[in-house]
Amino acid sequence: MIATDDCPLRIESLSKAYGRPVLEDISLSVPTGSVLGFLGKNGAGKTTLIRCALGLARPDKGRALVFNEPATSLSAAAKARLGYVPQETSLYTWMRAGQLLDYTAAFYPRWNSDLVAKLLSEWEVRPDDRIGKMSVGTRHKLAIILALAHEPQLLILDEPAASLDPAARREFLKTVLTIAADENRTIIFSTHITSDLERVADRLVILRDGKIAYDGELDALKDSMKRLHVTAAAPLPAEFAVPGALRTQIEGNEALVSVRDASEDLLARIRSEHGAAVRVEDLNLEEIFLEVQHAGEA
Amino acid sequence: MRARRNRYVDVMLTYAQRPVFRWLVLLICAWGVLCYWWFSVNTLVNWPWRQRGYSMRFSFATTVLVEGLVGIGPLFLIVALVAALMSHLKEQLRDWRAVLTPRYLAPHLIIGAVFFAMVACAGSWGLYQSIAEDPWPYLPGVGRDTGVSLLGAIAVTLALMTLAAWWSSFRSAWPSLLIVPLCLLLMTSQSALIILKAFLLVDAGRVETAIRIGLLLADIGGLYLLARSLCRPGGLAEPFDTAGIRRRSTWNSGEPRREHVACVGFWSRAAHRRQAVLGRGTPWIMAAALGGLLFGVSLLYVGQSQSHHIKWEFGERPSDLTASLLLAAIVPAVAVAIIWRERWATFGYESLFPASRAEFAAELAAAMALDLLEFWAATTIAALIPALIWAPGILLDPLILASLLASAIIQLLNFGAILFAAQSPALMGLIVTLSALLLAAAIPMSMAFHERPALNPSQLIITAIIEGTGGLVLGLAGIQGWRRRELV
Repeated sequence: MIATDDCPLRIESLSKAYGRPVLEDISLSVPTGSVLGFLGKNGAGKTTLIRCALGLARPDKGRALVFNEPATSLSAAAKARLGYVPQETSLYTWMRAGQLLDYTAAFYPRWNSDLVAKLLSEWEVRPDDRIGKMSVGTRHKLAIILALAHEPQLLILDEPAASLDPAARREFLKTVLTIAADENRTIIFSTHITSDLERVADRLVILRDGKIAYDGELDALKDSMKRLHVTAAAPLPAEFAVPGALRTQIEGNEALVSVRDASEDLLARIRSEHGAAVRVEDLNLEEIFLEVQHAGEA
Repeated sequence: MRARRNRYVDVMLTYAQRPVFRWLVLLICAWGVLCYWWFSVNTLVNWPWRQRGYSMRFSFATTVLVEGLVGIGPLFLIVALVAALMSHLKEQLRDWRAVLTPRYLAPHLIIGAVFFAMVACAGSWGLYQSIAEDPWPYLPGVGRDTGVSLLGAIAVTLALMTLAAWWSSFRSAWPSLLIVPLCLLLMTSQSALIILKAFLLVDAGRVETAIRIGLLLADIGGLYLLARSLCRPGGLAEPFDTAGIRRRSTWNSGEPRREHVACVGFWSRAAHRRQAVLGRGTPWIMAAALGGLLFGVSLLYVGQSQSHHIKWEFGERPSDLTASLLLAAIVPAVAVAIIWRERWATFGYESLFPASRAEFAAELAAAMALDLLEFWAATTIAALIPALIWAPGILLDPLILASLLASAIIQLLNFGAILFAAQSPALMGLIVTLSALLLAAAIPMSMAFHERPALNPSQLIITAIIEGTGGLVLGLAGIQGWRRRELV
């Protein structure tokens, strides 16, 4: 029997290299009931981090704990509480969907057949279709159904919606939200689709070059990160700088400045030092991601 | 800016720049040097026997090695070159560039065809030279008292190239190297004579040749069926596609769903894991095809068994009909290794089903052992069909009984080696493993069935036990490896 834990996933100082460093000293813990989104450019290390968290890859340093067990030696009981949808769905292409469902079900002590039937019907996955002949999107839907069928307490999804059509993506997000409503469930997913993250995630981790560039509440990030439109009476000097700025673009007497913490003090300081008018613009997650990436590259 | 060069030269340079072609050229040179030196070693080793006036060579090991190098080497090199050419051409022609880039197609096709023609010419000539110089170990009855024709060598080269190209056209190119050992297996004893008479012997009559060309085509057809049954994805036709799960899926609309029952217990879970790789009928379908092929071949052979050079080669030994027992030792390994390799991409996903890594590794090993056992049983029955029909009495021959037992024990080596090698998805590893397994089975069996046996039945069994023990050690190492292995 596994002791219940407040953090179904804990990662401690984890590093992994494939020739070059892919993950460097990553630490994070995911509390029960949270929906955590991983965001990062291609090659940032999202999939490697997920594979280390699942025990599919062995970290060079540090460790990952799933339900308090080392990820590299998870017990059957821990795996029964774990669901995973890989980025590339490697299913048995010669089987039919129904056969694969039967095959997979036999390994799990708990299996919600009603949920499976409902999702098959809603997502229009036909049990008689051969997997090898399914479209990529349908195959992905089937992988998601397989991951949800045993009602896992920790659900890890690697780019789950990338190959889904808009209607299926909406249905999928609805399902994720339903699952997330259960306080005992934890969802971790990586994606490039920032609008999906904005809709379902309550916490965000931005990975940049194998390191965590941001780890915190999504709403807090959106509240604090702003773009300032600075308009001065005279041309701004080339050395114009704002404390905590992620990016500064100057053109004549105007400047665009992205800042992580747009406090009233900061705004007042810009106004007084440069005699400028300052307009504050909210950023959506995609813009925030791009600013964070740019700051890292700069 | 670089001066514009001839497109044909540019395309030709893509071959020179590709590492695999450089390696193959190196391999061909190394093969030539090795043949020369090993031939010298063999002559020296056998010198005392020749001094005593024996015409036969008695140092079995050196002789087999020299004949293997000289006789089988060209076959492997031909197939390897075709595989490399096909994989290069597939890369060049498979995407939009072939359609949308102006004047792209013709140079690639023409240069590819030129290289194919070069392989055909050089391969045929090399094969002809090697046969004319020294007979193949696997092709009895040729060389010593019969002539060979260049035309026959061309025909065999083209047949091999066609098979390799056909395989490479729809699958990854490199497993086509397995065509050579599979061909050699089918060319043992009876089949060999047909191929030889059809293509290589100059004294065959027209009608006889026509019949045998037909049988050769049937042989190739049998290989085709064998390959089809071995390659699961997209390979099996609907009637064979049991996918391991006989019962109807409960997810079909309008049917009441069964209550969920989880698989518990080690062996039931191991058996359940087999369903992901193997249709229940597959080994028996393959065995039926193989049995039919062997029966057809033996049908022709039996009527001729008293001809002069066959008698000279085999004497009156019952081994004529039972050399196919070698198939039972080898075919299961080839089949299981290829089928399990197809499963590699799903291991990571499957490792997350509820079971610890140790349980997962043990269940995988047990599933593979069960696969191997079923394949061995099916193939053994198939291999015995000709003997059961033409000479059931020989099944009581001690050598035959020992061979059956040895073949069963050798499956332990097959199991251990395949489980160990399956940790890596690398094709070359699979090919090397299977080639080693072929030799591990073929050498002791050949020594036991030789006209001057180097192993008696007891020694054959002891050899098999030693090999089987090695297999168990490898298997245990494989299970340990699977427990720690990173998966995709």
